[in-house]
Amino acid sequence: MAFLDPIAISKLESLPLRAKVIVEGALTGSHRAKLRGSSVEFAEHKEYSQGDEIRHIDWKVLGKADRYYIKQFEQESELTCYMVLDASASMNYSGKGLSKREYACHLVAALAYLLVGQRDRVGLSIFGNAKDVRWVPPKAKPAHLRELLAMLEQVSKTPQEGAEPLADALERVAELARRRQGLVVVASDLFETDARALSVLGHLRARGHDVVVFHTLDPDEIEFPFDGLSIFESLEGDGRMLVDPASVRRMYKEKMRAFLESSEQQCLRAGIEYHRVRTDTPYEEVLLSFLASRNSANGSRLGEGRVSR
Amino acid sequence: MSFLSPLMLLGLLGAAIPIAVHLQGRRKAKVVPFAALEFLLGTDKRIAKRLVLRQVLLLTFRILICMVAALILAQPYASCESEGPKVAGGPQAAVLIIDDSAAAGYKLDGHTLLSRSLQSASQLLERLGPEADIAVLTTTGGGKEELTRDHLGLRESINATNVSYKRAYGDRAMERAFSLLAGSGHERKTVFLLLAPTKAALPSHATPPEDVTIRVVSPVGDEALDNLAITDLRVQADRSIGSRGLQIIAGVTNFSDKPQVAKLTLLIGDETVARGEIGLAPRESKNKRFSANLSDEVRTTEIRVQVQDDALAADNVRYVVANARDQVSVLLVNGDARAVRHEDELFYVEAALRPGDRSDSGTVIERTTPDDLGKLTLADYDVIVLANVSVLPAARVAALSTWVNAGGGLFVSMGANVDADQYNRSMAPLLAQDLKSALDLRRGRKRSPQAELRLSKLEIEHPVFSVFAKDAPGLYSASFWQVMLLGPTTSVKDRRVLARFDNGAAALVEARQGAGTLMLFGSTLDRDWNNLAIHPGFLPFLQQTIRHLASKPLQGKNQQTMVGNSVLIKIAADDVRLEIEGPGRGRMVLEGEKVEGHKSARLDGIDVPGIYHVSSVDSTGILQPRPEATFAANLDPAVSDLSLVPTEALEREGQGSSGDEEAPTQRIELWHAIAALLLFLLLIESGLGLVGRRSDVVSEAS
Repeated sequence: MAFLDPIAISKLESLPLRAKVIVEGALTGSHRAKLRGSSVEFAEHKEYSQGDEIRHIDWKVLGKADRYYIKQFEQESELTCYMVLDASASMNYSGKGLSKREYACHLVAALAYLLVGQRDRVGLSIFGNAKDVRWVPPKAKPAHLRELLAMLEQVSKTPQEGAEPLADALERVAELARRRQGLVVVASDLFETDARALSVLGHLRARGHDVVVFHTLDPDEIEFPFDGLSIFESLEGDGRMLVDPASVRRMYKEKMRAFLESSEQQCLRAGIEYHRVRTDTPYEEVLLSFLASRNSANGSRLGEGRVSR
Repeated sequence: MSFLSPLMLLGLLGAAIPIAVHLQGRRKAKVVPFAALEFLLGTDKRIAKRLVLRQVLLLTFRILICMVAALILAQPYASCESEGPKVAGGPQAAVLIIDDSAAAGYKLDGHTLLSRSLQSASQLLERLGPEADIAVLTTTGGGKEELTRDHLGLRESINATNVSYKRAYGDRAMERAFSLLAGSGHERKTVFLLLAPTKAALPSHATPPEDVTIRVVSPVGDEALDNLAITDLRVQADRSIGSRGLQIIAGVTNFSDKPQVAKLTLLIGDETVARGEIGLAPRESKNKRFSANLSDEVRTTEIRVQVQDDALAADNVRYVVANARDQVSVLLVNGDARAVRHEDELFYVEAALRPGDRSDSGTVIERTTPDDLGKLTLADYDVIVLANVSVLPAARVAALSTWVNAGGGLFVSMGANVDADQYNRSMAPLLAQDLKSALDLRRGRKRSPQAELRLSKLEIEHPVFSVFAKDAPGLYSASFWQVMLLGPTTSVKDRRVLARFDNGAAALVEARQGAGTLMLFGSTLDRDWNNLAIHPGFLPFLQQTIRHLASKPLQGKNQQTMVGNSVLIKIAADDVRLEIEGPGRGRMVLEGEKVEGHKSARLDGIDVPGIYHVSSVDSTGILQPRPEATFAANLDPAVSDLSLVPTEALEREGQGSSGDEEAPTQRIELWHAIAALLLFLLLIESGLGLVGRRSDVVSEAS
């Protein structure tokens, strides 16, 4: 299987197409039996009585037993997924490839494509700029998917401003999703000045939501590969620092490692599924990891945290 | 503040270098938009502030270092008025009188007074200028005794001036200065006295002409100059400790205003013989006595006493030479010689003076009879004992009297041959006191304690009895049954009764006569009149008496002179040359007309304290040492008194003084201090750099 290189994918013209390529590339040849896409499952046979739909008569049973039996199916409940996309200025950072914002948009779009294809309801909350809060309520129609993808494409192409806290966005989602439990998928770099975001995530999980975090980071942010005297400008504020990267690398990496471990541990403790995502990681790896964790979740207890890196 | 090289101040522009480097460093940095800026700063904002402060400090220190380096190159200095006389340059005549006496060797803060005066003289030379006619004199008689504009020569003369051990003669130097100035045609005439204003150095009698200005340039302030000195050293014979015993008396003076303890050391030859301490109140003089017994082979003794080091080293030591005498020569005149030895008048005397016939008893004994006395040369003897001698002829009495006057010691004892009246008539010059009559306590009585006398009332502190314990059992137990009573006398000045009998009669009388001593013993020296001779006190009594009587002045004692004085050295008939070797400038020679045909030769040029050894060369060309002519030269004690006296009475303005004199200025180099500051700044900069290397963040740019 060829890897779905994020840069190559990004060269495709439209986001819907890219989402389709990502999902199909990821799903081709794997877990076919499980992912047939049927929304109705056979439950039992029932003898035909007047009023039953003729199309549900099991003609094979009629041929064998010469009696009319009706196939009864269990109605499958729809999954409601709330996508929460971080579009703050810090997500604008791009090292050698895509920016974190673009990568996250692609990832969210692929998941939306996949979920809508399963007739699940997908909603989208894009936060970052407190003055421009975007919210798409969850629906399962194909037309709704187009609306989602259009919004994601628009966010993907435009560098964003603002530094709205993730916690505020999550609180909004929690308010909107209070009547119906669902899957909350968060794609963010979690660069927060306070620890409130993970706390709110914990509250969501406590309310019965299944919470998945895609901790999206650029490789530069993890490895700090810079050389030569540099002035680092904050993407979310006015801070500027003249720094000799070689001299601060060790300290930076220690702090970053501590931050990542802390985020992961907090998620684990709160029963949140945590995926650390580097923007140079092929999408299919991320999706497969996610899907694999979802499938294994059927055998695990609800609320158990899972981690993939 | 002024600068020797002001052009170097352009280097201050170098302060722009660190600023430029700082700015350039910032321009070169590439801008990186970054999301995780918080991880660079950490959570502690104070770190960033501290780093900014450190960066600002680094830049400041680097700017300061550049500026300070430029300042050092510009050689900054400050000027201020310094101590010293006001001097006007230009045409004039000036005489610099520098004190180069031993007192100028006094060390103050590590520099001698002379070196300070010489520095002042050099400064004066410079400030008086090339148009001044200048002469340089010293208080001990040296210097360049002419007014000259040869400043190079004058400077050489000043630099060649050294401390002399001669005494300062300020008045003589002043008179010479006035004489030189009188011959000058300049209107302005000045005498600069470069000396510590002590009583010894400062002129006190010279009367300056009207047109001469006098200035005193003192190398010291107003503080007192403490000094501890040995100002006197004498030697005298001390027979109480032996026939070759010496008593060395060192005079020590504390010339300071605080009490001091003098730690004295006595050296005989090069050997330390004794040490001692003596406490001295301010301005107090005391004598410290040392005793020493010389060995037989030593004839000439070089004695040195020194005190602990102080600021003036020259007067911490003093020398003396003493020629030790040979053994005491005693002549015993036997007035009652007997064939049976133990019945002889002098049997016990000889036994007491030469116990066991030992040669090292320090006594040479010779016997004679009154008749043979005239055949002997009395001068060969130190002590003569007239034991029970009949009246001597008048000529012999006169000879003996002359001998006593010259320093001899005569002991006269009584006996059956002594007739009181005849003695009083003929031998009065030899008697310490007139005789009255003999008293025989046993005449007509049996022997009993009531018929005997005993000694009492001894002058126990007198050298004769000083060796006895206070109760002197060896003497008090002796019985005297016949004694000579002495007649009344009114002479008490040089006469002293050293012992009495218990009936109050004088037993031993001492009298000074000229340089000699007379002693009269009121009984016999054998057992005819008493039994003293067989008592244990007899031996020490007689030995002490003989030693005491032999205490004539030492031959050539205290052979010493002052540095700068002349010495007369005796010349033997066949001497053709004298060679004198001293501690200073090597060997001095007297020969030719200075020696030939003279009984003594005068030696000048004694300029260093110490011991001077004399040798003579006779007509055969053999060099013979002359130990008896060895002499010591010492400093004049007046040099040691460094009490400062006021100079106002001496300083005066002459008629030719223009009044436009300027006070001297002193240039203080500042670059040393600035260089220290530079080092300090460099240290701080290095420290900040080190901290910077340890820190992660270099700077936060605004």
